[in-house]
Amino acid sequence: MIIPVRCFTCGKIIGDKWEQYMELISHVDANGEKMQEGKALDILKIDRYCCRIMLLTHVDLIGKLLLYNTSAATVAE
Amino acid sequence: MIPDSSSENYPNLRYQHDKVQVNEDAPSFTMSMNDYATYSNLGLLQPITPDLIQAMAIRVLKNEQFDLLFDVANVDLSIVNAIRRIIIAEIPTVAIETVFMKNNTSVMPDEVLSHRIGLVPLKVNPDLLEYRNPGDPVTPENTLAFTMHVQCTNKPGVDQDLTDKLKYNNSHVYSRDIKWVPQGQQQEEKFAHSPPVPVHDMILLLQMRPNQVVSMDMHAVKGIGKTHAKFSPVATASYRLLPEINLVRPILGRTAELLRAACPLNVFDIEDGPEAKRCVVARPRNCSMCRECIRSGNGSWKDQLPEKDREEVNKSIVLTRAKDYVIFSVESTGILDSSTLVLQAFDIFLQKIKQLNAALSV
Repeated sequence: MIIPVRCFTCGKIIGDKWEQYMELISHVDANGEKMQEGKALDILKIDRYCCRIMLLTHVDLIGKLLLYNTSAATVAE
Repeated sequence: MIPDSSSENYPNLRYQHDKVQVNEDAPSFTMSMNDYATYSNLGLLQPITPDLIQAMAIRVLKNEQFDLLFDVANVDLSIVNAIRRIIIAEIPTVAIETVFMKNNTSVMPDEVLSHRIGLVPLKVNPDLLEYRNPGDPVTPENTLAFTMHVQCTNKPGVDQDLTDKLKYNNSHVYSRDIKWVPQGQQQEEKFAHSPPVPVHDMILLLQMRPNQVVSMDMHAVKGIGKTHAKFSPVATASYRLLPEINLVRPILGRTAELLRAACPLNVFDIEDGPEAKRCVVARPRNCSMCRECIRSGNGSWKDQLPEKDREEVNKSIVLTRAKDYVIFSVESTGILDSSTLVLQAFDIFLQKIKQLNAALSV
């Protein structure tokens, strides 16, 4: 649903890396190319494949759940 | 002495004692004989004595605050493994254990959020806190109190096409929102020089939409990794045996070039030799023992060699790992320095030995 706080295998903190990672891989350089995932992980110093897999394969579903905001109605009124 | 892998002679006992040989299919000589007299005919009587501890040699390769890398030589692996396991599971740290959820209208269930909060490492010196055993009363001596209250709201008058962070206040809840609440003046004084805070400020705990609220109080206690991984002070403490790549016969010319290119971890270099260019092992520590250099068959680098050379190459490269030389790495989560962790592990190890000694000498 949301990026896990720690790597399941080794316990490294990855919860503070997700936003940086997304920023890195969505950034478009002068040649109009996006950064490769592997390079982004290297920049974030995520070296082991257990931690790399956590970011690489994560699907951030919380954005979909956030669409159903039952508290929002009171704001709209 | 590294024997020729094609040799008819069975590798000698000393070799079996010292090395693990990594072959194309499976490794040989992987076991350690635990009886100290096993190799006595080689003059290798090795009871664990103070002399043997003296023989242990440690060389620090990298000493960063939270990342320590060192070599340990001349020591039985059982001792190295004991240290590793103590670092992972028996060095105390402080983590959030109980969450009193006052309000949670976010999309994340209470228990999921609580679990995430528990995993956040806290910068607290564990020596300043006592253990709280089951049934013990909660006191300022054994518990730290934290609180978190976050409400997401609309930012007035902003474009609705923007991202959540620009549209709303507090749409993202981070570990920095966890605030320490000192219990009494005594506790405040005790932690005055280093107030308890999360090690990392920006761990994403939760995302919210306008009008959602999370509000909670938390209790942190001292514990060890054995009870819950959140108390473990390391993100891996590990060791590996020293890799050794032995070129028993020189590898020359085009074969050398091919071998250098075949290694995915760039272990080999080419040097000018008296007759031809020669392959040398330049960076053995890079080696992950992937065995690409000794692999034969489809798609291996040996395919590019003439048939007669392949046999020669097979005999020339012998991969081994030293059984009494390990490369130890300790990566801390940021609560305690890596070097402190190793020293504490030795203290706990000695304590255990003393306990055992006392128990046996009744």
